Order: sequence, then C-alpha cells, then structure tokens
Amino acid sequence: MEVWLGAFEMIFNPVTLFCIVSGAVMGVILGSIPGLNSTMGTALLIPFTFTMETVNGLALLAAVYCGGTFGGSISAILFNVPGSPEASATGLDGYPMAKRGEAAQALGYAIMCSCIGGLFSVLVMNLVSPFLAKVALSFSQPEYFALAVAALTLIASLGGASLSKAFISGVFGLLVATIGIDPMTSDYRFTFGGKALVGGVDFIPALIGAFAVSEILASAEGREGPTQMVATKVSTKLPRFGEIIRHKWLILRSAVLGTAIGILPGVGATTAAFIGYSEAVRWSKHPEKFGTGIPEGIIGPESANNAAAGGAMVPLLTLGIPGSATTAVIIGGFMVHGLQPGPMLFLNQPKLMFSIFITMYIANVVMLFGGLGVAKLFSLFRKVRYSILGPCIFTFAAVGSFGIRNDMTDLWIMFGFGLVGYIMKKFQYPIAPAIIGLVLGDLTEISLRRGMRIVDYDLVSFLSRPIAASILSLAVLSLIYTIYSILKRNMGAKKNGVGARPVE
Amino acid sequence: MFKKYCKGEILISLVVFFGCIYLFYETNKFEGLEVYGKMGPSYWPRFLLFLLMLLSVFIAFTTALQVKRGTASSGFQAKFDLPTLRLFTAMALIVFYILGLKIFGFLVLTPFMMIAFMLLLGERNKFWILTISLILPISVIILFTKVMYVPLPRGAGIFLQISQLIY
Repeated sequence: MEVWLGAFEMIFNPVTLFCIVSGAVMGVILGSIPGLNSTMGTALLIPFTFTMETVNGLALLAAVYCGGTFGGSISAILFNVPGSPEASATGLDGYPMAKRGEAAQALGYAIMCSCIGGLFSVLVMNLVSPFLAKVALSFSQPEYFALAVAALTLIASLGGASLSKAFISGVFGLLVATIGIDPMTSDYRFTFGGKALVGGVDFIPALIGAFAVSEILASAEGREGPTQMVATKVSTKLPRFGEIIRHKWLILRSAVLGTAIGILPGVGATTAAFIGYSEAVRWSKHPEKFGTGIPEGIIGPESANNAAAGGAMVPLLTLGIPGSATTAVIIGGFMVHGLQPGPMLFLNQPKLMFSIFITMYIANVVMLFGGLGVAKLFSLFRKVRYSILGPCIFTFAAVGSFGIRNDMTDLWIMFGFGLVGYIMKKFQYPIAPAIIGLVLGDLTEISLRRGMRIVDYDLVSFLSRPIAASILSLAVLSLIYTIYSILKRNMGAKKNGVGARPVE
Repeated sequence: MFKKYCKGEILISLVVFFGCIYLFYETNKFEGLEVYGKMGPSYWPRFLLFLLMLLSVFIAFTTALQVKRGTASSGFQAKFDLPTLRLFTAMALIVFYILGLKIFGFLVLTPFMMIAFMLLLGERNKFWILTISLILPISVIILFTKVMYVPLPRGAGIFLQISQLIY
C-alpha cells in the first residue's frame, strides 16, 4: 500500500500529468498518420527524456505507446489506410461501416474498445505480472505454430460463398511472406537475382496497395468515390453502456487473448489484432457478416491490440525482455536513466514500477478523449469530395509505404498489390485472407520449421505438447465447423435458387 | 457476358497454375545452402505452391462446370471503353509517379501528380485543385522530414537542388 501511495505521489503532479496527457495525444496523432507510428515516436522522444526526471520520461514514453496503438485505427476506418500495423484488422469491418455512413459508430467502438482492452491489460499486468511472464517463457515453437494456425483458420470464414477463393487468397499471402532471405538458412527466396526483394515484402505497403490503391483505381474507373456513395456527417459516437454490455464476452475474450499474446515475446499487437478478429468470427452467431461492416469486427481487433500493448510491457518490466518493437525502444528510455528493466528493478525501485502502471491507466483514459479529438479532426476529411480526397489518400499511401524502410521497392509493392487487389475485387476473391496470410506467414513457417527441428522432425512430439495440441484441436474443430456451416448455407441457397444466375 | 467472366476466371486460374509451376522450378535454386535436413528453405514455399495449384485447378474446374450448368454468377465484364481508359491512365500515372520520384523528387513531382489525379477523378474546381496540391505535399514534407526526420525522395540534378532548399 505504501508503494502504491508513493507511486501516486510521483504521478499526480502537474508536470507528470502533462507528460502523460501530451504523450497519449501525441501517440494517437502519430499512430493515425500512415508512415509514422508509436515506435518511431518513442525512439525520437528518448533523447528528450534524458533531461527529464526519470518518472516523467518513462511516463511520456509509456503514454505515447498506449496512444499510438489506438491511433492507427482512425485512418483505417475512415480511409482504409491503417496508420499503424496494429490497426490493419480494424479496417476489415471499420471501413465498410464508414462507407455505409456509420463512421461515427465505427470510431466510437474502436476508441471505447481500445480503452477497455488497454485498461484490462494494465490491470492484469499489475496483478499477475511475474507469474504471466513465467508462463509466457514456457511457450515454445509448437505453441507459436498452433497460435498461428488457429488465426489462419479465420480465412475460411472470410470467403463468403467461395471457400476455395478465400483459401487461394490466404495461401497467396502466405507465399508472398516467403519472399526474401530465409531466416533459418539465409537463402534468397524468390528474389529473382535482384536486390529489390531481398528484404522481403513488408505487409504495410501490401495492405495499403490492396485496400487503398485498388479502391483509387476502381474510383478512377467508375468516377464514384466511396464518400459520394453515402453522404456522411461524421462525429464520433461512443457506444452506449448497453451496447458494451451486449458485447461484454467478445470484449473480455479479445482483451484476454490480446494480453496473453502481447506477453509472448516477438508476437506483437498486429498478430493479436488478427487473432482477436479471428476469434470474434469463430464465436459469432453470424460469421458470414464479418467483412461487411459490423461492430464485432472492430471490437475484436481493437480490444485485442490495445490489450497486447499492455501485455508487451509484462516481460519488459518483469524480465527485461521486450514483447514488441516499441517496448524494445522503451528499454532505451530506461537505459538513458541508468535503469535496467527486470526483476531487480521491482525490488530496488518499486515506486517507479508502480508509477508506470498508473501512467498506463491514465494514458488509456486520456486516449479515450484524445482519440475523440483526433478522430473528429480526421472525420472532417470524410466530407471532402473523393476527387480531391483520393489523390490526398494516394499521397499518404505513397509516403506511408516509402517511410517504412525508405525504399522505392515498397512503392512498387504498394502498386503491385493495388493491381492484385483490383483484380481480386473484380473476380470476387476476398482480399483480407491474403493480408492475414502475409502477416502470419513468417510466424507460421518459422515456428513450424524451428519446432520440427527441435523435436528432430518427429511430428508426434511436435503436436503432442499439451498447450499446442489443445490450441490446434480447437482450431481444426472450428475450421471443420466453419466449412460445414458454409457448405450447408450454400446448399440451402442453391435449393432456394438464391445466388444462381443463368449463363448468358 | 457470363461466359466472358468465366473465361476470365479460368484464365486467372491458369495464370496461377502456370505461375506456380514456374515458382516451383525456382525453388530448386534454394537447395544450394540447405543445411537443416528435412525442412529446408524450399519446404514451406513448395507446400504452398502445391496448395495453390490444387486450388486453382479446383476453381477452373468448378467454373467450367458452372458454365455448363448455367449457374455461373458475376458482376464483371471485360470491355474497352472510357472507364477502362481512365483506369489505365490512373495506372500509368502511378507508374510514372513511382519512376519519377527518383528523378524529380517528392517536392516537385507530387503537386503535378495530385493535379493530374484530381482531373482524372473528375474534379473541376481550379482553386481546390491548386490549393490542395500545393499545401498537402509541403505539409507532408514538413511533418515527415522536419518533425519526424523521415527522409523523402529528393530527386536528382537540378531537382535535388530545388528539394534541398526545403529538406
């Protein structure tokens, strides 16, 4: 109790509170602009924290991290261009909602669920940090593989009527993820003798291309921008308490999953968002509606990705191991103040550790209000004609793609995926499975190959670890059930004559 | 009309199938550095290519079957008209922009790209066209290069000198 009181005393002073508020708002702004993100923001702020008091510096960095994880969803919902990788899954349903004129509700769900997910993970973090860190360290390659496979089973649910097209799209994404240097043998794969593809295909330019550029191309063809389809008056509309209660299990499940995935080193909030989305589909009574613009498609990933941000702080604070790219940068923030995160810090500086917990509570609440403000600002752009907005989106898409690695190849990747996305739309191939495959491709392949090598290529040993076996069994059962439901629905539609058209 | 679409479907399946065969051949080049026994660098790509081939054959087969039964459905027809011309112009514009960034730089090229794109999308208000296409690139440059230290393409020769005036 004394430690908590001391931590409160450290935080509740004007300067520290100002650092938290400005950090959270700055994080939301950075996250919402494609090409900038919270990792970059924290890295740039570290030198500034050098002259600050330790608690103020760390509070600023933690707040930027919290705000940045949410910020990306604003541009993902409004323009289908995720501001940060963590928001990629949010656009799958957020953007169709915005196109239908429900951007205000979509933003409201994103902000509220990010806040709840973030608060939940901080609560978990300060209650059971050391225990969770130990459990996370017992995860090995087979468990990572099982997690990735479980998330990939989502592909079956995203194909609408055509399962085979969803699978082809998903496998295409997985294949694109193999381009570049093989992380195990350093072999060049599908680089065709050039240097351009050696670094692989980053999924952000691919995503921007597949969703934003393909839409710009379609608009050029039809001269009908999305904003002209529905006259939108956007002002963020937070969901009512009753609506939150109605989705309580979805929010809780996604927050638990997000926190658990965030704790695993190297997995991160992007994977958490897709797994959150995947589980939202799996547990839904109407999985066929996902991708058409429903709140559950926002609640799942947004609760999960912000929970993962808090979760990623657990191994950082308890073991000194970063759980994500941004937490790896935050270690630098500790180091400039002569601190080494880990178990000893809890013993030597308990007040400072608890002040970080309090910071993250406050930052998540500030993010709610900061998010409303930034979303309001971005929403103004929805009123602009698409003939003006389209080129602006393209400029940000180009800068966002280029800014990731400062490499022109990423612009070509963006354009290539724009073409692929356009063709896929025309021939009714779902695009989302390709992006999910691309995001999870590395994790799936590497965990499979490393895991099999560890068990000397004995498949039984690989699959019989209790956690991995349980996750895989659930994933396979759910996949079978999804395929069965889709086939049943298709057969029902055929019997009723729905969807069948004569050939001309 | 639907037959045209289905031909397109089958054509895509064939492109995927033969593309996979070519890439399968490419995977033979990965074996040179294989040191990890059974699951080398080509194992996973080959597995995926095999799956893709199977799926593409399945789609081509079911589409052909649908054509035969008269149950094919689509919303796409290939034809060459003004919208298609606009589509190809947009593609050409993007290609030119990406190619031109290295030569002309972000500062010089982006306003022209934006003006061309706005006209292509049907915008006719000259005030907005000029204002937005000048203000947005400069704002992006200030935000990215001055505030966040993210470099943007500067171009070459005289265009490099022009860019260096600002960033």
